[in-house]
Amino acid sequence: MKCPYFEEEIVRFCEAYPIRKEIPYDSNISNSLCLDGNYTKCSEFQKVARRASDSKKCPFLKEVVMRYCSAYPVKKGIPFDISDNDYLCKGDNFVKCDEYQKKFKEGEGKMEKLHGDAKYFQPNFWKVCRPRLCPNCPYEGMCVAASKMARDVEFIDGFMLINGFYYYDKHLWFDLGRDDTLRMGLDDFGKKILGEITGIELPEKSKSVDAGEVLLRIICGDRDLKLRSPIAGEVKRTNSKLEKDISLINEDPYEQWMIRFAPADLEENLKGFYYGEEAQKWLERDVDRLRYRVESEVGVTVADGGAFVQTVDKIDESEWENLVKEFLPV
Amino acid sequence: MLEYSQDKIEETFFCTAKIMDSIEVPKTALNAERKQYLSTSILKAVIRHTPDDTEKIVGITSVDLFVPVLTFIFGQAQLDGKAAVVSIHRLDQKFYGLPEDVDLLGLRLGKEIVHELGHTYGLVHCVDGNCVMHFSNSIMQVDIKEDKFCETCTREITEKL
Repeated sequence: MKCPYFEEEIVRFCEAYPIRKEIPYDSNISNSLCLDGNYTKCSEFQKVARRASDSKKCPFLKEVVMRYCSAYPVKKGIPFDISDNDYLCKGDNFVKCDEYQKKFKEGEGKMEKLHGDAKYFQPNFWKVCRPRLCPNCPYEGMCVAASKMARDVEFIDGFMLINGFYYYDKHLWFDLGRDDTLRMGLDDFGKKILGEITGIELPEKSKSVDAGEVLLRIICGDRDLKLRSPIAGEVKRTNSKLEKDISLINEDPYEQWMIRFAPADLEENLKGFYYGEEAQKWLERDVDRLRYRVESEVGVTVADGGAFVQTVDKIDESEWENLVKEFLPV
Repeated sequence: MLEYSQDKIEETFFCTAKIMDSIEVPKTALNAERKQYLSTSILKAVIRHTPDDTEKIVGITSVDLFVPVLTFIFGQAQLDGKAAVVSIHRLDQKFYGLPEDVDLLGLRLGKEIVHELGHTYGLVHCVDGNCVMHFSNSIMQVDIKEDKFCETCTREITEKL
């Protein structure tokens, strides 16, 4: 088990700058020279670069995963190799860490007000408690709140996957709630296929849907598509935050769910989803599938080289439609 | 460079390789916005110019290739088919602002030709990072992999030759 305050975040930094200065991924740097195609005017670029790349993004703007302790008062980076015994973050010894102890005592105080027993609120307890005892639990979901920050992330060839979520093979994630409802969202791969999402039309609350029925509409600039529901059930809630500020989904598709379902047959639905290692293997297969795109005019072709284009605008209309048809539930 | 590629093909696939006359890159292949050429269009042109008695054909071009979903490609091949195309554009040290290195370019081109012809024999990407059939998304990965097949891919290709 790792410390629940051991966090990972994607940060950007300028590789050309003599000192590494990290910029959080969600910071608005869209007006900076780094991204708007004017990076050749940047003094740091001019000092080190020999030629411009064909991308709008500066080739020296790099992205890395940063590890940090969210319990520490100031965001403090943790070296990537934490096998050193000086770090308690990984393994059961994190409970000995002073910062963890402070946070734990804070939580304990809150739980006492609820007449809870602190020993039930060990980090990640809620994951163990997946048999969903909550209706009879006196602690009112405090365990989940205590572990809110604990997100177990995997990166598969540049695409993010959250362990602990269920995945439908057309790139939707489902998170099982303690009340047997399922929160549904778009996974990182699906989000990258679509490009920047500029609008969303979510269904009415309490609406009953069948599997395969049109569920919601997503708008990406001039393009739009209707996503079909992979499961049958009732729409319990929709994420109103998204309707107010759609940019949230572009920042983190896993943080922003779209619909909370009361599924008609939860057990059957979960059987049809990928989970854990199976989900990782499935995503690896789909990344491969993206490279082995079927080109109907010359048969099946395989390409060697390059990364997935970050600016989907570069993909023409028919190719975008083909990608969406192949990888999303339309 | 072409002669080197010819030797590489002959020694790897135990065949006779012939250098053909060059063909024009189709004008329609150019994507002005990306300043790159659509690989599939060039592959189609190569297929159109393939003589009937040819078992496999690989087109070598100096233009920068792309397929819509990828930022660039070193090459593209028909899986279990006849034709492939390879670009030397990003195999050349000059692309990376470095002095020309003809030997290195020849080595990289040889790897990519063998890789793409491997696809035309039905081989898919290999998980072995040293195998020539390993997928390369950067020039570094092209340099890391060797210019020959791993044991598994060798067995597979031997059955097909």
